[in-house]
Amino acid sequence: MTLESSKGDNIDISSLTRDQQILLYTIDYLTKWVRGGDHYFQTNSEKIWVKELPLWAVIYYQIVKGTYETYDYAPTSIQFFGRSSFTVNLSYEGVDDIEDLRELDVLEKIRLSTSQHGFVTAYRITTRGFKFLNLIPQDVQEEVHNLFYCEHCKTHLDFYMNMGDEPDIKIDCPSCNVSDFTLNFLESEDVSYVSKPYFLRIADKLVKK
Amino acid sequence: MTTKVSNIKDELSEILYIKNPKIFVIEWLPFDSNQLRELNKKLDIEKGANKTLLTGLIDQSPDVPIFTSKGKHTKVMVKDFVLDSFVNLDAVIDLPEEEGIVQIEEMAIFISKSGFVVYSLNLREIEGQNSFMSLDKLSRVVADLSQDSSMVIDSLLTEFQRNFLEIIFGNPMHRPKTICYIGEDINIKYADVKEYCDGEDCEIEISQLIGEGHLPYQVESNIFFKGTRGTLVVVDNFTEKNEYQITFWGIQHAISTFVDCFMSRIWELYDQSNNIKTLVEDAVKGNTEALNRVQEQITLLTSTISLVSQIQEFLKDSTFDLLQIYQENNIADMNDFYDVEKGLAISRERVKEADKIINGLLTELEGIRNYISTLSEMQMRKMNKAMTRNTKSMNQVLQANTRTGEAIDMIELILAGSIILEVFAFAVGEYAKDDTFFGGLLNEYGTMVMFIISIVCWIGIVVYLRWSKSRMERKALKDFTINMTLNQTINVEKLSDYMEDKEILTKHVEYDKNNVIISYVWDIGKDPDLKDLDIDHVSITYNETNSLLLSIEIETGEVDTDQQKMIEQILDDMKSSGVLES
Repeated sequence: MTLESSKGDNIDISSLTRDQQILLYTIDYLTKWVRGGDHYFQTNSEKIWVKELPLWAVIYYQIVKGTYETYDYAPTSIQFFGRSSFTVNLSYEGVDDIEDLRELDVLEKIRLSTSQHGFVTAYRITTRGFKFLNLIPQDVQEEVHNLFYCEHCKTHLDFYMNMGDEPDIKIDCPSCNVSDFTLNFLESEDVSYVSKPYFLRIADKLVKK
Repeated sequence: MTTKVSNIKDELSEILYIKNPKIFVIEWLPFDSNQLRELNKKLDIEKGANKTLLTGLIDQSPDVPIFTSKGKHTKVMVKDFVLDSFVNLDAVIDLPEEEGIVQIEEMAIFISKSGFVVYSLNLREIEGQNSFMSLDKLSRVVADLSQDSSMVIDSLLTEFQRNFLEIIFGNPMHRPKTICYIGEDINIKYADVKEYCDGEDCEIEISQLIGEGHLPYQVESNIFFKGTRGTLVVVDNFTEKNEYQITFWGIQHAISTFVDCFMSRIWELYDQSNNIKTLVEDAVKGNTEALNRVQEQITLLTSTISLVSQIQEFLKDSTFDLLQIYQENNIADMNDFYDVEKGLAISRERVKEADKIINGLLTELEGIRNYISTLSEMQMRKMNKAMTRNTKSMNQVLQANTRTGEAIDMIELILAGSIILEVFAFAVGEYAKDDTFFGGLLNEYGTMVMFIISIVCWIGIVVYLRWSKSRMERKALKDFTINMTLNQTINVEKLSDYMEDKEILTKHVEYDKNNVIISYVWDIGKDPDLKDLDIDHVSITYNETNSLLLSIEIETGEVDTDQQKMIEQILDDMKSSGVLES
């Protein structure tokens, strides 16, 4: 099972890590499972781009569910709409793998402006990436599929995004309402710590004399 | 000692650890001497505030002897201050946390009149780690500090400053800050700093803290990373020079971030002004609802732009001051890796350039406002005209009713008279002898003569009454109005003289921002020069400010008359009086 890279050399699918395979299959899955506002739509995934923020949210959800072997996440401050800053639980391992997949010409990236004068990044699988998808092992595919079905009632989970003043991104079960499914992507986790004040020694040099 | 408690849902793969970390959280806020003085008052600084509890609550009931608070307080103590220049505080944050999480959070807060605020602390312990602390855990501490520092400063700000923050960030609790991490040592040491940028675990952990695409720098064993959200520094001896350089870079970065948000807000305002233009188009098409909304939105937008302009002034002063301070101190080292001067100069230039957009927006809004005022005036004038016409028509109908009623009354009387005449005729049908001339006639022709006289009188009266009734009705109902728009220059003084001779029925004066519009209606029946014309009333409207005769209107009962000629005769009359230029 090999594919030619854009540079003409061969890539063995097993040279991709299992996490990268899950990530790629997840992006494909997301293009077929989209909820914008109150509407679901399914369409040809070749034409659909997945926005970066919901992709990050789904990666976080998968980390919490234990899907990835090597990913973890850290609270990271990112700006929404070029103004407000929110802390999200972002996986830099995931971000790094997205870049790796781009380098392999499996994913491509687009940047678009928003009406609030910010920028949004989005990804989609390339033609070459679609050929690659067919080579992803069945057990990886099933693992990704299973994540989007409720463990209790086997209903397909809902993905919900509200990008208003108080943004909210949720993945939950529409029928059994189990709170376990709620995604805390925008809630940073607390740790216990002790701090003491550090008084600047150069305070007098920071002001006009 | 804190217990090893957190609510992290994942097993962290912690790679890098730094020793005894210091954290500086830096942000730019609109401060100046006046704001700083307000803060000093709040801190009761001149009395030497000692561990005062502060709250952002406002006393809304000055007449009530007690008040309640929600228990979110900051305990602050003034460490050092120079009135109208800076204040250095020791703050203890006491905010409720999840069960089992212990946070003993104490930090220094340096507030300068140039606008920047530095929250600085030594991290003594994270979940039992009290020397080397992992970058993964540090990122969680900083997420907490970013939120808590917003809460702390909120209780120290004036309502004026809070408004500014709301304008720029929407929810002021969610605003970006610059973070500087300073460690004394690092657990993994590379001879070349570039080795940390391995594209794998080390680079990922550094990116988590300070953002992607960070730049590395090295001076002997000291390493520096500069990223999009902050800087990570590992120096065995943290000198004052290092502190100055890192703090100033943080300040510069914080201003630059604020300017980014400021510009985003300006572009949003620009978009809103475009929405207003769409509403104006609707208003022009006659949508009165759109007209009202445009006026509301212009007011709202102008007030927001005015606040944004004030923030711009704060930014201008701040960037100017900071650049001057940095240049005067002249303490650049590390081959100017942090490039503070350039960063500050760029921010200053960007703030200055925002002038063009803000002024453009204000000019545009002023233009739209004037256009909308004219549109409103036009609508008002149309309404006013329609109302005047309605009133006139109603008066005419009323008059016609009265006249018709009077005519009917008269007819009833005459009919009654004619009956009497008939009765009389029947009555004098009896023979009587009379020696006078008429008596002779009567004697000779008798009843026949009396009958003929009665019939002739009766016919005469009926004909006369029919004629006068029809004339009255025609006068009452068949009034025609002829209106002509002129827009001709007049001599206003001469017009006043001209109007003195007229029997004026109504005078209407309308004032607006720039014009005085006057209307006169006069009765032409008693006009010595024009009484021969078959005109009832003449009405003129003129703009006194521009000396412009706007329109003339005449009322006539004759539909067949040459209306053009009528108006021309009145205009000739005005010309001969010097009102209109020949």
